[in-house]
Amino acid sequence: MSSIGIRIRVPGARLRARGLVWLVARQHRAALWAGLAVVVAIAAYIVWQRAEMVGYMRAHDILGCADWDAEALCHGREISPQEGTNPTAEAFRHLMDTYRTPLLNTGRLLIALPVLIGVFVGAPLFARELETGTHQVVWTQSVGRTRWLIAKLALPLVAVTAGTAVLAVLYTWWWRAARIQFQDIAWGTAVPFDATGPAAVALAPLSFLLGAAAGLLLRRTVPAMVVTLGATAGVQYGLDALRPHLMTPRTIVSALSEDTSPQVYVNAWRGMGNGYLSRSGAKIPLDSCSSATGAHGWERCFARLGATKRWYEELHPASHYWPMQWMQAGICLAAAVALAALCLWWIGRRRA
Amino acid sequence: MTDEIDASGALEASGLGKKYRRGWALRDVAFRLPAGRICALVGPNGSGKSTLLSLAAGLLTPTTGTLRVFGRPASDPGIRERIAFVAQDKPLYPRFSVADTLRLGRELNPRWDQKAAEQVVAEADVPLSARVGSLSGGQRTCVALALALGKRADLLLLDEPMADQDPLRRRRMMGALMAEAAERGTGVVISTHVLAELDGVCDYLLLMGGGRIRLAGEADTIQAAHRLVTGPSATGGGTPEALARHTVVETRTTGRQLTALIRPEGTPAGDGWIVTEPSLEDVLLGYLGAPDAPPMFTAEARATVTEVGA
Repeated sequence: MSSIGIRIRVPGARLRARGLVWLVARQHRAALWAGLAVVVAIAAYIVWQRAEMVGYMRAHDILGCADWDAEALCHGREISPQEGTNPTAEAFRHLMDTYRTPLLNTGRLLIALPVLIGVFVGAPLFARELETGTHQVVWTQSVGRTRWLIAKLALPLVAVTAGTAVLAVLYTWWWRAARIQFQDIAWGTAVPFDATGPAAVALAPLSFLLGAAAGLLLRRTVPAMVVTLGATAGVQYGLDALRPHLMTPRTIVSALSEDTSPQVYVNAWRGMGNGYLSRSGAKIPLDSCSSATGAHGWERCFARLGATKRWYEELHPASHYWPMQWMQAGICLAAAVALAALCLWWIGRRRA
Repeated sequence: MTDEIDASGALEASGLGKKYRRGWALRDVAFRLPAGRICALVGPNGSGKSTLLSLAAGLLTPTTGTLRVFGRPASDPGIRERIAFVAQDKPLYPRFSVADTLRLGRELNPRWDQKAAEQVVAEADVPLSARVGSLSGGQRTCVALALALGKRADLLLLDEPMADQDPLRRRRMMGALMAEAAERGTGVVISTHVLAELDGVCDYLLLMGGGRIRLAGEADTIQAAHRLVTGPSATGGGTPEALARHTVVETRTTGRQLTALIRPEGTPAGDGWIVTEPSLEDVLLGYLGAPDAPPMFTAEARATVTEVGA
């Protein structure tokens, strides 16, 4: 009897895998084409916007210039003249007015993409089947439930990750072309951090699996979508809050440290904390005296705390961008693997 | 493989129970259905028919006891390809075309018979290009049946397959099922409450009530074990003395006359009593009308799981 069982199962195994891949692709055919259209449209927009922007910068010879310091020069020309204006300053203003908003808005759209993936691709994946009973159709064919679950997860997972990767690469390429000009866009904020690099790519599988797991456990489409909306938005919010602490910020002390080149401010993610140093070198954050009142209350407060004139600033230099990108991607992928394991455990508990 | 089918019953339940949050849907169910039978699963709504079929299809797991399909637990994945199931609400992917739905069967079943499946659909005049979501309830049922028949299973579990069919299509579908059963020796379990559907089609019977089996066995044996007797009703009501030594399933009184469905012990006669052989429908109606009547299992329908295990 067992020999018969094996004989049947072995040729069947190959056939079944192909079968499930066909089934999942057929089920998500419409979503696949819609997703492809979205990716192509956004990709085309990015390529066009970047070409326009770089073309403008090249035409006005402001490539590689940064307006990070009042004394900064652009190829020997003043960027922020003390009085009046000049063509270089005008070009900078035009660059800001015309190309900064599309860059930011596209970034906002891209960081919303994982949420949309979770809510509209992940959450209905199992919830709709369990809600309408169509899972019974597949569960009563000759394939195991675990294989079905893996196929259902794997195909959309590959699709959303690939689509997001294309957009993340293009957006990174766009942002980096104007990163030095747009010094006010701090790299550590949600836009561009969550829309660029491996961190952006890893958010897609995590959000998708959050939705899929919610749908599998809740068995209802709308509640699963609502929970996924909260969970994916919460994950991004949490990651943004966690990010400054992923690495120790660098402390820059002004007026003292000759070894620190002002160049450290270029492309830095500033605002991790600042204040005065005490005589012993202890940090006194600027907000320690936020409740001080009166004409000289502020000065008196800092004097009482022992502040000197030495000013410190904590920031993440540009070199922290890639390590943090990989750290966040790692966190997201670890969570995604855990969610996939949860789905497998759940279906295994229901017996195949 | 045929030997295997014959050796153990198609279905064998022992101490089988299923509890939902609202209570027990099945309790202490024990019966045996031999392979290759056309079995009618009859009972009022909520008697546990769908639960029993879902357990057999492996969609539910029993709370107590065991249900064996061809000698293996119903939850065994290896048994999947040998049973086909059509659920009561006929779930199908609404956005698939009929052709896609049959392709699903072909892709997911190693024994798939495309011709057989297409024939069922063609007989019901359902175009292959039609979207499942646009079909009528009856047409959808045909597609679900085609999916089940194309699987070339050894046991078909059909939960109220004829409920939303017009009489003509019902006859055609039954014809297709019977042809399959006759050609390949496929066993069929059909749950229904349309008793007329069963006449002359089913050779096995499972009657359920209140989550238990009340009648189980070969249809003709069950039918032969019963008699309809008509005679004078007892004064002051109650069961007349003449019927006392028989198992009385149900009695009906019309004026002074009493008709009773009995399982006779010995000669069911008596002076002034007319004895007739009931139709299968009479027997079923008798049991449905008398929920407290004692259950009956033919020798073949008694569960032998415990003996096999010993």
